[in-house]
Amino acid sequence: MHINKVLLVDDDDITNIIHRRVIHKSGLVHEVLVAKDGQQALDILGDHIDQAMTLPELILLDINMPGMGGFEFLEQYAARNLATRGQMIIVMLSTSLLRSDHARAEADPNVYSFSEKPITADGFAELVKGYAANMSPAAASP
Amino acid sequence: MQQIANSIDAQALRAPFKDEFDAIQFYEQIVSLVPGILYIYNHKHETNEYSNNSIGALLGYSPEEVLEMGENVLPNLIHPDDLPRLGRYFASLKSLDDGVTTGIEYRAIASDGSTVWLRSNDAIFQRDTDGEVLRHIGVSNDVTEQVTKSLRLAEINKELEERTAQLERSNAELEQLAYIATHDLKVPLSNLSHLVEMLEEELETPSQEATEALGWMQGACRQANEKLAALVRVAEVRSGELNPRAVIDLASATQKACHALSCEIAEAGARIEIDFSAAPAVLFPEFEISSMFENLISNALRYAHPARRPVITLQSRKCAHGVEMCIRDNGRGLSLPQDAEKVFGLFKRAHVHPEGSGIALYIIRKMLERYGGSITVDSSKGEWTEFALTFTAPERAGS
Repeated sequence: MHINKVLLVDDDDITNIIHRRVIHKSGLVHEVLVAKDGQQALDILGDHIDQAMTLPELILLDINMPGMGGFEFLEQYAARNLATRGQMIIVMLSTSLLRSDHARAEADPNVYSFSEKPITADGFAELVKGYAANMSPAAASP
Repeated sequence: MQQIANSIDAQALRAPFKDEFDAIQFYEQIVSLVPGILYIYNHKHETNEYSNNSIGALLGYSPEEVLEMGENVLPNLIHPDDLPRLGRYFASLKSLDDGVTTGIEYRAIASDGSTVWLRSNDAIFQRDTDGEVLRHIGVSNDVTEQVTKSLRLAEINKELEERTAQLERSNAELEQLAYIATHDLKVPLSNLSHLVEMLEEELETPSQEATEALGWMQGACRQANEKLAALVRVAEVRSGELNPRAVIDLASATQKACHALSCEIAEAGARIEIDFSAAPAVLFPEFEISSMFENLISNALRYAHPARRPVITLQSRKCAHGVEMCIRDNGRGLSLPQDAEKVFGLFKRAHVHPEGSGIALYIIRKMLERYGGSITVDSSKGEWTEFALTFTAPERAGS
C-alpha cells in the first residue's frame, strides 16, 4: 500500500525535517507537502481543488501554531466541507500532555487519530496501514 | 409564660402618672436623658419649634457662636457636600406616610474642624386640616464611630477584593506560563530524543563509548520528558476542570489498583488486607480514585522494609467529615515531623532511594482537597507508615 501525498502542517522546522525523513525512508509516499500553519494548509488544499489535482490522503496536523492553529484549521476544514472533496484522513499531532487537548481532538469527527510527535517509522507505517483499512477498496487511491 | 410577658409589657407601657403634671415631668426627664437631639420641625414656618439640645452644643459650639451664625446655621454646620442631599431629604418628608420612620446619615463640621457623622430618624408628628404635613418629629445622634468603622471596613473589603483579583490574574498567568513552557520545551525535547535514535541508526559500527553516550542522551531526554509530564499533571490537578463524582466501592477500587500492580505485588511477596465493612463506599471521581490507590499502594511497596515481607492494610470507618480510609504499611517509616513537608511537597522526596517522581502524594493531596477531602500521615521510623484519607460519604452527596 502506497499513498500519493502527505501534507505536514507544523510550524516547527526540525519536526518537519524529521517527519520528511521518516516518511521518505518508509518509501510509502510519493510526495510530501509542508504548510507552516493552518492558513497555508487551507491554501494548499484550495489550490489542489482549483487545479483539479489529487488531494493529499494524509494530513499530519499540529495543534499549537502561530497564526491559524490546528483546532481553527479543523473548524475551517469542516466549514468548507473539505472532507467531501477527497479521501483524506487527519492525524492530530501534539506534544501536548493535557487531557483536555486529547479529548477535544478525539471529539472532532474529522480527526482520524491523535499521535505524539514526532512520529516514529513504525508509527508512520501504522498510519498508512490504518488509512488503507479506513478507505473502502474501491475508493482507495492506486 | 407568654401571659406573664404580656402583663409586664402592658405595665411598662402604662406610665404610672397620677396627673397631667406628673406626665409632663416624666416626659421632660426622659427628653433630657435621651442622647443626641430630639426636635420638632414645623414645615409651615420652616423652623425648629422644639429641641432638647442644640445641634451647636452637640458639635461643640457655644450658644453665642450659634447665635452669630443666625440664619446660616445649617449651611455653616453641615458639610457642604451633604447639604443638597439633606435639603432633598427634608423636602421628601412632606410626602412621608403616617407611622413610617425614615432616616439619613450626613456629615457636620464640629467646632474643632473635625467631621461628625449624624444620623437623623424622622416621622410625621402632626398634619394640617388639609392633610399637609405640619410638623415632623425627629432625633439626631452622633454615629461617627459606627460610620467610620463601616467605612474603614468597606475600604478594607475593597482592598481585599482588589488583591484577590490581582492574585487570580497572576495565578491564571502562571498557569498559562506553565502550559506554554511545557509545550515549548516538549517539542525540541521530543525532537532531540528522536534525532538521537536516527543518529544511532545511521552509525553502522559505533564505538562502545559512542553507544554509551547515545544511551545516556536517551536517558537524559526521558528524564526531562518525565519531569515535564509531571509538571503538566500538577498544573492540571491544580486548575483543571472538576470531574463528576460517583459512589465508589472501596473494595473494587482497591482491587483495580492491585490488579494494575499485580507484578510489583507478586515480586515483593506483599500481602494486602482490606476491611471496608464499617464504611464500604465514598463519593469521588472514579478515574482519579483508582490512580490514587495505585500510587498509595505502589508507594508502600517501594518503601517496604528490606527485612520484612510487606503487609499493607486498608481500612475504612465513618468519621465526622464523612469517611476515613487508612492505608498502613510495615515499611521503613518516616522521620516525622521533619519529613512531613517532604512527603506532600511538590517534587520533594523523603527517601533518597529508590527514586520516585516526587509528585504522587502532592497530587493526591491536591486532588482530595479539591473534592473536599484531606490526607494526613503518621509514621514510626523503621516500623510503619499510615496515610489517613478523608472523603465525602455517599449519603452526603447533596451537601
